[in-house]
Amino acid sequence: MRRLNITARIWLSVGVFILGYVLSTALSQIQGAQARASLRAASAALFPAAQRSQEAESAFQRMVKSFGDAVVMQDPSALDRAAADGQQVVEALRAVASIPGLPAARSQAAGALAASVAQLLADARGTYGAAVAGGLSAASQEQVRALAARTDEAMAALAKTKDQSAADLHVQLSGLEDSSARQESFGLAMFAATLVLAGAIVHLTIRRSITGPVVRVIGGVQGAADQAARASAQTAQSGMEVSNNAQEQAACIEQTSASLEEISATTRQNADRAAEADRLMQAARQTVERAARAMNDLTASMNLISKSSRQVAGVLKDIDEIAFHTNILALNAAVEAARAGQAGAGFSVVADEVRSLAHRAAEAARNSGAIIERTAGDVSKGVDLAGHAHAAFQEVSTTIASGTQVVSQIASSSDEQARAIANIGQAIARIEALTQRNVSHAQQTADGASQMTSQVENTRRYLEELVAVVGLRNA
Amino acid sequence: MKHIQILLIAAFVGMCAAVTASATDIKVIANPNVGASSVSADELKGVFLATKTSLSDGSHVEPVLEKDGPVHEAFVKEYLGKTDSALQIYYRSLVFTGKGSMPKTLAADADVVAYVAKTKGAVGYVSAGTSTAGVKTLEVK
Repeated sequence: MRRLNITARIWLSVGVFILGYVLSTALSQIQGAQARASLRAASAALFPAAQRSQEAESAFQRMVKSFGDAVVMQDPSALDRAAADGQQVVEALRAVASIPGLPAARSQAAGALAASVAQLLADARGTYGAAVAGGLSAASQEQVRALAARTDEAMAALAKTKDQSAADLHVQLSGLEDSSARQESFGLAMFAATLVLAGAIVHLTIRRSITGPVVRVIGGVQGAADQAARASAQTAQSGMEVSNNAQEQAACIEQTSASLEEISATTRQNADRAAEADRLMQAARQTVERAARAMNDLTASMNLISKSSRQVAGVLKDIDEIAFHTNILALNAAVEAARAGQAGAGFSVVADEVRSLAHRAAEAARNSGAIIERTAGDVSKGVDLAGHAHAAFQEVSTTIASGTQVVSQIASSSDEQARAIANIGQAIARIEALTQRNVSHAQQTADGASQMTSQVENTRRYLEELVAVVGLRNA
Repeated sequence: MKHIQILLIAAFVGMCAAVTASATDIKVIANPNVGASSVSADELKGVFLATKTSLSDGSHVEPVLEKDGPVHEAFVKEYLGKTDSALQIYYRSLVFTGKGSMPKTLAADADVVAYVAKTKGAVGYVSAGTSTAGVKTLEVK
């Protein structure tokens, strides 16, 4: 059932109807044939048998009554009537025995009864004739009583035959009636079962294959429509937000563009200033180189001064030695003057003077030597300081070279930066154009979402109509 | 007319019979071995219509009839409510149906008395004046 499609299921229900109809018709045909056969048996055999048995019983009763009349009323003419009635009984029973189609037991019983009634008739004729003719003598009474017993037996047998025939007929007819009733109820049950089965199939088919799927589809589509409505509402809102954001973005981009132009100008200025700084650095380096060369000259001069000072010191030593020797000579002169006494007195004074001069010359030479020593020391210090200054100028020169390099790098970087900013400006111009297009697209998206919302509402209304058509709100 | 004449004659004869023999002129007699000394009218009718073969005290009885005569006529009419011919038909129908036999029928009172006296259970009827030696007279209530 679950795998069949709708057409197959509908054909299945129709098939069940047709099958039920065909079965019912075939069964009624079969049972009708059986009923006809049964009716034939009843009309051809059982009914005549019952009728004939009834006739036989009636005739027998008439015969008994006639014999009774004959005996009781002493009426000989009644004997003939009784004989005629008895003959009728015998004939009726023989007719029953010869009915074709009657059960063999019934035929044989009827034949035997016919023979026994014929015998009884013959005996009764004699006995009752004698009883009528000669009055009821004692012997005659005995015979009459015996006959009465036989008559009762025959009557009972006849009644039994009649009842059996009637019962046979009744059984046959009631069987027919039962069969007919069974057929009717079976047909009714068949019809009801077919109706119920086909109805169930149709109901299930409609419910499972049409209503159920349709309701499921409706539910699904309703859910989808709800989701679509929510989604389109969200889309509309998002579209509006995107549009607003894009407009804001466009404004921001314009600001950015303006800022970028400022940055670009600043960067160009930076580059210019870096180039200027480079030039200034080059000039500073040349100045420093000149200063270095001056320092070298200064150092050389200082070395010369130092050499001169050492030469002056040598000279001063010679002077000191001269003063020493002069002093000794003065001493020798004083000694000689003392020995020369008076003659020498004047000489001794000159010798003293010469010795003091020698002292003064030695002292002056020592003082000058000290000064020269200090000067030499100062010049050495100055040479050292000039070397330090030269080294410092060298470092300054090196630093200036590095600074120049850095400034050059800054200048080239500023150039690159300027180009990059120009590129950024172009990119932002494109972004601005794209943003403007995005704004319009977002507006279109919002409009489309609004249309989608209204379409979803339409879909929902159509679904409501479909639900009403299917008529299974809660199925 | 003929029927009416017959009826008139019958009525006349009946009246004469009633005059000649009434209930008081009939005695019901029985064999001495019958225990009862009296019998009801219904019992008596039953005995003579062969529907009873014993009395209420259990003694076996059988009827004895007279062949004809005023006593017979009176008895049949008085106690059985029938005519003689109807009684005969009644008995013959009993015989025909095998339910009984024709009753003992005697010609005169004396024969009846003699038969009753010698037959156990016999019940008969005779005129009131008949000698009833050897039998007992039953009182009919």
